[in-house]
Amino acid sequence: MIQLTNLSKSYTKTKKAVDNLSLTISDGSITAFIGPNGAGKTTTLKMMTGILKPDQGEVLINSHSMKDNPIEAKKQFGFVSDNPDSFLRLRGIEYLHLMGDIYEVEFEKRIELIEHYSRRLGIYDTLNDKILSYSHGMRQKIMIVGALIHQPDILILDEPLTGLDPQSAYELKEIMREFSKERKTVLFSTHVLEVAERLCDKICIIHQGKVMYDGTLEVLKDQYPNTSLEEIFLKVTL
Amino acid sequence: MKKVIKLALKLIKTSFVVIDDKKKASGKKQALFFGVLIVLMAPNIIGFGYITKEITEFLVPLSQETVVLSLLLQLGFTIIIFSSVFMIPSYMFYAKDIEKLLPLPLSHVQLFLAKLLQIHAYQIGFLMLLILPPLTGYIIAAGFSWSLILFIFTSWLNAIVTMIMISIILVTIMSVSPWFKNKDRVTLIMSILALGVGLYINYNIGGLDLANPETIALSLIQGNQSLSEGFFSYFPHLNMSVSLMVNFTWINLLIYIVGSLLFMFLVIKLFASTLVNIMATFQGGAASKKMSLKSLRGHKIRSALYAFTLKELKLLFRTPVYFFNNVLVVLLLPIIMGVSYSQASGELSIPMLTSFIKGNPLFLIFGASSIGAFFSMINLVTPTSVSREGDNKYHMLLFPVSISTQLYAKFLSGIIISSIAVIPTLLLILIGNALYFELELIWVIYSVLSVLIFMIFINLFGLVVDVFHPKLVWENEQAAVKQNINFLFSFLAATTIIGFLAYSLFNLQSYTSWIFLGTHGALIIAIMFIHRIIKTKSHDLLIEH
Repeated sequence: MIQLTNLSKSYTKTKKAVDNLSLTISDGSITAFIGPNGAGKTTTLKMMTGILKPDQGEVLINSHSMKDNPIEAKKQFGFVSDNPDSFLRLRGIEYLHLMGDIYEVEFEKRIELIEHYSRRLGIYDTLNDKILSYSHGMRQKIMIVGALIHQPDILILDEPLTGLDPQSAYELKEIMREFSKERKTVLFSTHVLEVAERLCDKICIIHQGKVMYDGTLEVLKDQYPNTSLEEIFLKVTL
Repeated sequence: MKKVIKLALKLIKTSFVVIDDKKKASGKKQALFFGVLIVLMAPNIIGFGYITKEITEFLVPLSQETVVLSLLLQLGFTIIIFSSVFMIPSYMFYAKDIEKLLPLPLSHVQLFLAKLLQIHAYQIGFLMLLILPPLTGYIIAAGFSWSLILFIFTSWLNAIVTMIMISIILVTIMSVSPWFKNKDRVTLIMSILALGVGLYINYNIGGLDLANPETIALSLIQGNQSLSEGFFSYFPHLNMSVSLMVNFTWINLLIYIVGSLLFMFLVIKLFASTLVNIMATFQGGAASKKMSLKSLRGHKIRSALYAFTLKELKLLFRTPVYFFNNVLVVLLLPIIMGVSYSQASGELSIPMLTSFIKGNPLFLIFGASSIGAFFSMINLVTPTSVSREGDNKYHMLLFPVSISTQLYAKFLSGIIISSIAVIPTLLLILIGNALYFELELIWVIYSVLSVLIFMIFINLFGLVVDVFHPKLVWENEQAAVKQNINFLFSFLAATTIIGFLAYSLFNLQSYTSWIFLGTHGALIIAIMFIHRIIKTKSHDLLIEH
């Protein structure tokens, strides 16, 4: 479970990127984090994962405070950033073993998971190459495998479908569903409303750093009858 | 041309950020940073200028002062060759901004010129930083002269001609074979070539026969700037510049200017399109290697510290810019120093060294401390370790491993690289003691400890400076190292402490033992203090950047 309480962050003195945001993401759910550009999605995800320090508020990951017990809190999730250009001079397999070492994954389990997820995402044959030679989509995939290698209880992804081919996008969505079935939590940010509509149990619409809607899609649609999701989104974020 | 200058200024502004702070560092913070830097650099700057002034004052009565300018011209030329070989591939072919620049509605000539101007601005900045102190010393001793104006003018024009010349060589090599499409390979080859040219130029300083004192003496007596006339270079524009300073004629100046401009015009006209087309194709990677079960299982479980240290070392060895600046320098310098020592053995022979050390064993401790400090300050591993993370710094905060553990992995990689040169030196001390010095064991232990203390202190100091002030915004890996001034702090700390020990060894002989013990003791306390900062403050410092 992810609990955000009164989270705020400002980059300038005049404007808050995230403004007193409170949110609870329960176990076994797939939640989409939706909002226009500059709404505060990435800033929230960064505070949630310990990359950014909130000006105020608290982040609890499976009841571990990001402020007081960051190491335990960070062990609970796997994170895929929107920028996959990392560790470019390591070979794919070296990066995944590095992740295994960092998250203390037992060797046989690690091998099994690397093989399983890299084959599903179609990058197994390229694992011996340096990440530098990978395309954007392949870099995205290796980061996804790296985030899954310690079988986290929570998966957080920032724009995960950008750059993925249809087959890999399908596989990633399947992986998310499997996570949800195992009572694990998935939170991802996206601009693609159709994906959110088809995949998520819950959506969270954020605008100007504030939560505009947090709940199921059905309830939201009931509030705006005979309106497409796109139009609802525009109305909520107006 | 307006568009070109605007674009070049934008490129310079976006890629050269000395103070890296997304929230824009306050004026006070910037002033403090540069103030500390200037204070720390002052002894070296003043020293360099003072030596030049002394030499020039000696040469002026002999009418040989132009030789100082000729040497500076040669130094500038070497710097431009070196930096061009590294900068042109980095800024023209592999820079992150290429993909954004190519679709712009600019002609190939405009794009090429903007990139050249960007590189030229960096080179001139760096050149001024190095040349200004000795030039000031020269002006104090020799005053303003026609030669000085010509020196400034030709240095500037030569910098452009040399940079353009290197760009043609690179374009030619890169267009010959697809083998050169691998960024790492190209950088490695170019770096080796640059190293060869640099060593050659240094070995044959301007064609002057410095090894023969008679030639020097004869030239000195002749006067009339005859020392400068002895200069010879395979690069015509350099010869022309020296000749202009010594035997100025308007015709020669005209030939030099027209020749340089014609060269530039022809190159830009003929090569701009080829070069820009090559830019568009140079974003390649490494060849594919088949994945196998052996590769999948060919790893061992490692502790986080071990895994991070190994990752640091892999990146240092596999990234050519890091390899050349951080590793190769440590591998090559002992060899170069060994060769220099063998050539100068008449001045500092082993019996002489033995009598020195036997007379005062603190000379051994001084030597050991200097070696520990020197090989730790030249490798730049720790003062750029956080900066090298760049955009990927967020991973450090994301991993469930303490920041101090990750920083100590960076520190260990610095220690390992320093050890490449330090361990053979320690062995030499042990062998030297067994064969020649025959000092008591306590001195040998003290010398080994002093190497370790300096090695640990300088690496840790470099690391903590980079934690406080990382340069995280850069367009290419070269900028993370070459445009990073953090290394200056460990460089200056090392030279100041070693300079102080040297001063006490010769001038404060009654207290030398206490000064040495006190210095090493103070360094141990400083190490403990830095360790405390890394343990308690590093996470907060890193998350703020």
